[in-house]
Amino acid sequence: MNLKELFETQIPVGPEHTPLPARIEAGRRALRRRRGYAAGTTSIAAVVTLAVLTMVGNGDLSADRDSSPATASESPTAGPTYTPAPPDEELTSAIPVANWAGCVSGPPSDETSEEEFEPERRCADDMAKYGTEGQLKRRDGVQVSRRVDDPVIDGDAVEASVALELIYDGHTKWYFLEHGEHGGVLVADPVKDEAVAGMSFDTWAKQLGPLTDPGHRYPEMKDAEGVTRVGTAWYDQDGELMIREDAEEIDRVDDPLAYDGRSVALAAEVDGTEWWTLLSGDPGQHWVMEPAGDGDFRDWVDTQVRELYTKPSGFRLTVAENGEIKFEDGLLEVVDQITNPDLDWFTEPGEQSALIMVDSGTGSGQHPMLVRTRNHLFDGAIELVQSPGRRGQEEETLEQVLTRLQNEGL
Amino acid sequence: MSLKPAAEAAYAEFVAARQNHLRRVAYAICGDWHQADDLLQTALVKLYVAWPRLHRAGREEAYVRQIIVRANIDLHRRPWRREAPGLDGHDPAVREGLPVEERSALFEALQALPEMQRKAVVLRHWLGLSVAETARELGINEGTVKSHTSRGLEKLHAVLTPQ
Repeated sequence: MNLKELFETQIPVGPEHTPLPARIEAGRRALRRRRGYAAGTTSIAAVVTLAVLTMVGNGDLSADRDSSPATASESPTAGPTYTPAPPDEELTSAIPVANWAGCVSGPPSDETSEEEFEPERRCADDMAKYGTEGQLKRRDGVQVSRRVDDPVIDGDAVEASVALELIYDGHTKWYFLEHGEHGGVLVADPVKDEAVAGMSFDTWAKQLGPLTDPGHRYPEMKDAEGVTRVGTAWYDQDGELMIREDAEEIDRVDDPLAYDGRSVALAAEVDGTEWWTLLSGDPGQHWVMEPAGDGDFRDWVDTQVRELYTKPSGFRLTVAENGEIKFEDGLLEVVDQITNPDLDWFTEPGEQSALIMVDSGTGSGQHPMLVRTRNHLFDGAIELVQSPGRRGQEEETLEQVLTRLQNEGL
Repeated sequence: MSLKPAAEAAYAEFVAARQNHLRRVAYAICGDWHQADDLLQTALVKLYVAWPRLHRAGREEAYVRQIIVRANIDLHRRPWRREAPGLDGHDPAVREGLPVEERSALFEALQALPEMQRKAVVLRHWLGLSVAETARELGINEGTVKSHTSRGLEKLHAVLTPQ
C-alpha cells in the first residue's frame, strides 16, 4: 500500500478558495495591527519586554503607549514592543461592573452573551479586551501596571497577544489576551490562585507561551533554594550560570550579548526536546527560549542578537518637505540627521530614508535611528540600540554609524 | 500598510501555488472544510506578517504547515478559545455551504484515528517529514512519534488492505 499515493489521490481539493485579494487584504490588516500607524514592530518569541505604566482612565491602551517612547532607548530591554492602534470606540456603559469574586455582575458586553462565555472569560472581557481591529481596551478605573507584548511563542494561531497586570480597587489580576480568530483569554489571580502563588508577573508572562500551547511547555524545576526555575539554564543570585543537571548540552555560545561574560546562548535537550535559549545575567533582562528550529543554532543566536540590538520602535513622527524628521510628541529630539543615506537594503525605489541621532532628554544619552518614509509619510523605523558591551565607550557619530551600517548591514 | 510590492507579489504567488495542498493537509487533519479554511486563513495571515523573514529563510511552507498543525492542536486543547468572525463575506465554506463530501476509505479511516496518530501519519507518510521533524512539528518526543505512527499505520492497514 503506497500511502503517499493514496493521500494524493483520495484527499479531495475541496470547495472554492477565498479570493486571493481577500487573503492579501487580511494580511495587510494584520500587518497594520502589528505595526500600527506609525511603528514597525517585529516579534521576538518569548522575549519579555516590560513597561511599567501607570494609568487610570477609560479608553485605548494605545494612548498609554504614546507616553513612553522615551524609555525605549535606555536599554535593549527597557522599552515595550508597542503595537500602536488607531483610535477607536471606547468602552461603553454597557460594560458590566466587575465583581472580583465572581467576576461578572452585569449585563454581557456588546460582543459577548451569557450563553457563549464562561465566567472567567467574561471577567477578562470586562476588564480588558481586544477590539475587533486589534486595539486594546480596558475598563474605566482599571490601572495597568505592567505589560508584555506578544508573550506567546511564534506559531500560535493568533495575530497578537498581550499579558497585562491590572489593578482595580486595590486588587491585582493578571490577564493574557489573544487577538485573532482563535484567540483566547486567560486570567490569573496572583493572590488566590495556587498555580501562580509566589510567582512574579514576569515569570508568569514568560510561561504564557507554553501555558497556551501544552505541546511546548517549558521545562521547569526547583533550584537548591526551592525557587522554581523555568528553562534549561539560569543565572543564580550570585550571577553564576546554572544549567539543569538533566539537560544535555548540545551547543553553547558564551557571552553573545557582550555582557562582560554574563550572557549565554545554549542549545540543550531536556526530556527529549531540544531548546534554544539566550539569556543574560541580569534577572529578567533577556530571556529568549524556543523549541529548536529547523535551521542552525548559531544562525539562530546571530538572529536573536541582531534583533535585540536593532529593536524596532513605536514612535510618532512627521517628515517635512525637505525630509527633516521631527517627533510629534516632543519626547525625543533629533539632534543630527543624514537624509537619504546610502543604505539600499533599507529602502526600495520610491522610498526615502534618514539616519538620525535622537536625544530623549532623560540624561541617558543619544542613540541613532534609521527612519524610512514614503511620500513624506513615516513608514517604519529601526532603533539602533547600543550594545551593553559598548557602553562606556565613546559614542559613535552619525557618520561612523553609517559607515558601520554600510559595512555590516543589518 | 502592506508588504513591499515585490514581497507581496511573492506572497501572492506562494499562496496561489500552495493553498490547495495546504488546505488538503488541514482537511486531512481536522476532517472539516470549514475548519480547514479557518486554519489555512489563520496561517496565511500570520505568514503575511512574517513574510520577509520567512521568505528569506525559505521556510514559508514549513511555517504555514506548523501553524495549521499547532492551531489544530490548540482548537482541541484550549478550553478558553474564543470564536470570532472570519473573513468579511469571503468565507467560501460558509457562503456556498459545504460541498458534498466524496469521503474515501482513506479519509474515513484517517478520521477514525486518534488526533495525534492522525497527525503523525499525515506528516510522516504524506508529507514525508522525518521522525525528528514530525516530533518538532507536533511538540512531542521522537519516541512518541514512532509510537503514534506505528499504531496509526496498523489501523489504516487493517481498514484499507483488501481481505
